[in-house]
Amino acid sequence: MKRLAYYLRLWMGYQRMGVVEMTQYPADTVILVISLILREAAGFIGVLAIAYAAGGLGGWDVYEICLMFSMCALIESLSQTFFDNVWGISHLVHEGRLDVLLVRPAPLFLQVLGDVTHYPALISMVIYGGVMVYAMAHVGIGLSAGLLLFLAEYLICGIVVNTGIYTIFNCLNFWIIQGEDVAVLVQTCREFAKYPIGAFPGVIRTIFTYVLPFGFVAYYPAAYLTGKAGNWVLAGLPLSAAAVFAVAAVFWQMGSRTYDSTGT
Amino acid sequence: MSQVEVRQLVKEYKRRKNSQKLGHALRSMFAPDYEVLRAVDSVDFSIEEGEAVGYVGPNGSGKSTTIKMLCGILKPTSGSVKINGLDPFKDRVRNSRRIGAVFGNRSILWWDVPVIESYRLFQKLYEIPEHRFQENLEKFTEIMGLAPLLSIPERQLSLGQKMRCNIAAAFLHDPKIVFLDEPTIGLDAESKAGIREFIRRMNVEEKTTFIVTSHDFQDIESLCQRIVLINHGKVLLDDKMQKVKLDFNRKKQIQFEVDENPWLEKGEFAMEGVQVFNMTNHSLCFEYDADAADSLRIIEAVSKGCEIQDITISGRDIESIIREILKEEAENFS
Repeated sequence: MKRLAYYLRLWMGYQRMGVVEMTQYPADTVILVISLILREAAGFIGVLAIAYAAGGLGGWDVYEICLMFSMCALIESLSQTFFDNVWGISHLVHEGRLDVLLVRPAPLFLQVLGDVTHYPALISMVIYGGVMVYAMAHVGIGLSAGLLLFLAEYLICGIVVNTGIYTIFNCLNFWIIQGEDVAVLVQTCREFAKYPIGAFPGVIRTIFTYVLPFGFVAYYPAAYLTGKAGNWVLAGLPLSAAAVFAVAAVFWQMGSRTYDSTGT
Repeated sequence: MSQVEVRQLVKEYKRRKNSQKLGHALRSMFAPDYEVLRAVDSVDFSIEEGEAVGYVGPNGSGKSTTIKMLCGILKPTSGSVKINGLDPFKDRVRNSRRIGAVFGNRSILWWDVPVIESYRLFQKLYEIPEHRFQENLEKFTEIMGLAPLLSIPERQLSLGQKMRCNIAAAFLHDPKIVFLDEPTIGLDAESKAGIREFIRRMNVEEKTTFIVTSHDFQDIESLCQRIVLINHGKVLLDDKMQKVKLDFNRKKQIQFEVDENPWLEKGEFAMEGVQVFNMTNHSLCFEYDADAADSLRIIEAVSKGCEIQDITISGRDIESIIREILKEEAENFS
């Protein structure tokens, strides 16, 4: 319990650092917000155009696709805000900057995450939150305690799945020099998660459900909300999150133990 | 038990062999050849509380690797390190509460926020009580003149200012041992002096133990009572600074400033027990054995060849002593 309180205080300290950093670079902050919104919107608009023309996609109508997209973007912007530094692992390892974190009395992973926060990403979260509410209204999902509980479960599990998979692949940097390339490949695969993967062939569906469970970042939760998937999603979310978390923890533990610093 | 105990410490790196031939290079993408590099080879030493030890050696001798194992950054291949009875790698978190580390070529502060913000986060990291934090901050600010720097982001500080802020940061949590890896690298004389003064005071007043690596022998000479010399991963010498100087100081240096140096063209300056240390067009520097040669005879010989403008005679500093030990080792090696 004392440990937990310490981690929490430390986390708050890092968050404060993030806010101070943001105020140091106002121009960067604005650019980051714009790029984040565009990044998610680019694919979104394309699919919407197709869905409008075809009157739907794989059994999903336009508003249902909107809902799924906004859920996907919501997770991504939260991950960007608080967990983006898993992408920094390659720099920390190859430049030997992990040395500095290793002489401090706090868990390494907490320090890595704390080192980079992108508060501006919260703005993109607000915008896509708005899109989500709008889409829900059109799909006919009413506000209820059950919905809020589900959204809470979804946000937590979705972030764990998303960040966990990125962590696993960025951990490859502990063993190979260009591990970031693999991670970028995985991030590209994640683009699939923005579409109704039910419309894809079975192999791809299996991969995004059981191997890289990006399906739980948006598709399955959105399917559950629109009545296309059953109650199993309620169990599938925490199960996939737990599995990804466990694998990520093993990779991180093993990786950080093989860290060999640099020759300085 | 000593505060630091290092026993038979070994660190090996696997390094990939790179071939010049393209065919080999392609093959090694899938089946790489490795060679084992022994960076630290059976090192033993103990350090008592309050000691200041200079850990010296040429580039690539294994200094930094040893320091990294002492800090808990690297896992030893074999052998053991105990710091206050703790294994720094296995007990990293507990050990790092009691140690401080400064890396001359790497900042421990956050780059783009005011220095005081970094210090505040250190306070949280190390759980430093507020009154102790204020006391230390006040003291360090006074000794190293940090007051005007605290509100400035690190990226806007000069190298000397940055280093002062880094060193203060490493002492905020009252560490029992501080590792300084090249603490004065690239600094001007005044910054160096300020940092040395601070370290000396912490050593005397707080009984902080220091392990310093540096290529600047003035750092070592002015800060450390003891010196450990390492090369090719092995300890060559481990002794009190004073004793090393006494043992090796039968040799002296004599330096001449002259109008023109005739020996530069003619070749060697030959006299028994005298070696040329270095020579330029306007200067000569000899090293001589005080038992075998006599300074007056050297001066006489030099004055016959040219006009002497200035003479300096000195005992050798620790730097030239170290250089000689390394040279002898290289000869025995080959």
